Amino acid sequence: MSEQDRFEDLIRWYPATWRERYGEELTTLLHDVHGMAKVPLRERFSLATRGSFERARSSGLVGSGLGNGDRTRAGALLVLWGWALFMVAGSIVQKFSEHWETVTPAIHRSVATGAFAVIQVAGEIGGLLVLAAAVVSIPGLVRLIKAEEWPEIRGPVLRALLAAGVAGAATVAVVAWAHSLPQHHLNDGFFFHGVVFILWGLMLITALGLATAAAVAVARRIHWSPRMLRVLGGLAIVLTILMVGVTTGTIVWWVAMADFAPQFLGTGLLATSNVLPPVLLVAMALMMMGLVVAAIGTVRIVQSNVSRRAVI
Amino acid sequence: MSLAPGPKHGWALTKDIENFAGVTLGPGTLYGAITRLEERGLIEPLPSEDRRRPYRITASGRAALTDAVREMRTLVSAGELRLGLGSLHSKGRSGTPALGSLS
Repeated sequence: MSEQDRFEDLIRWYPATWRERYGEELTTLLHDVHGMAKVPLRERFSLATRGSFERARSSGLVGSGLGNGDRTRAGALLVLWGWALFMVAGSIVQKFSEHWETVTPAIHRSVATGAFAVIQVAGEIGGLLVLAAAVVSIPGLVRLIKAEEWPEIRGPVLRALLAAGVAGAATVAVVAWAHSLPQHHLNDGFFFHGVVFILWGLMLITALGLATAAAVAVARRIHWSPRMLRVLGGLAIVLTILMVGVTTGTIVWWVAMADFAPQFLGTGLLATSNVLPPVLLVAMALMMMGLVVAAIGTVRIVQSNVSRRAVI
Repeated sequence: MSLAPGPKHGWALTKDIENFAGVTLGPGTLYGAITRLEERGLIEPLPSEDRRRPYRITASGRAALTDAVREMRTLVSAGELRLGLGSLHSKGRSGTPALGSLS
């Protein structure tokens, strides 16, 4: 690696537009300050944090340097990332809770049933909202491709399509294989079966992550009208409220199950009590992370709306 | 403040700030400040010289700096007065023992 490459590598944390404007000056200054010597760890850390901050700023995630539209868009995309985390958590809860009704006494089932219904309805409405946002984005995507900006988004889109294809093929294969397994393998936790399911889950999570990254890359480049941005901002706020509903529903369902059917929740793996199964703890941690990310995005959207009204 | 006497590029700014303020700014910190100041129109870039771009203070930057220095002067005066240092400074200026000679 040449000396210039070495310094350019250090400023990769900064967004491309920033590097175009200040990159050459900054690498020259780094050369002036450090010469052939190794750049200290503290300086590397400083460049990483400041570069990440500039990146967040240029995306409209922090600061007030960008316009209201860019801030609304950044907030909505943060909510989308929060929703992606929720989809992973929701899938875990869905898988874990299979057949919960059969072990819960009918007399104590009402609270858990109500809570589970909230999770399902909120999840389905949320899915429809994301689908609606994707549909309204299609004309913008077409305009983007016509404007010859396809090379800009080709990488993330192709990666997402490839991952979706692989995950889809794996899903078909896993389902076919699972149906061919003897019933006792499925019921008794056959080790190989478990490993295959975990790998399949990781594949789906990767596909979801790459699809979200592609959606964000595309949405950041689409030129949205102010009206469309308000619509997307509104959808994102409703999505965040639905996430609160899913989280609340999960907690209530969990507590109801712990109260009336604790045997369903597990056998105390990793020194936990029966009512704190690690799988549900992971799902809840993901939900909380998703909720925090979505809440930050929602605050960003609300702030840009308030700021827009103040201008009017 | 470093740009008040004339234009400077990154390295010259770092050295100047080190001399008058005793603070060594890392390149990342310095360029964070340059980005903000340029966005606010307080400084402006000049044509690049051998990959080093000098910056100069703008009229609004000079006005903002003047305001800031005046504000600091007010605070310093109030502090001196409350600590009883104001008279020592004025004695120093008139030829009688100054702060430095008291130690």
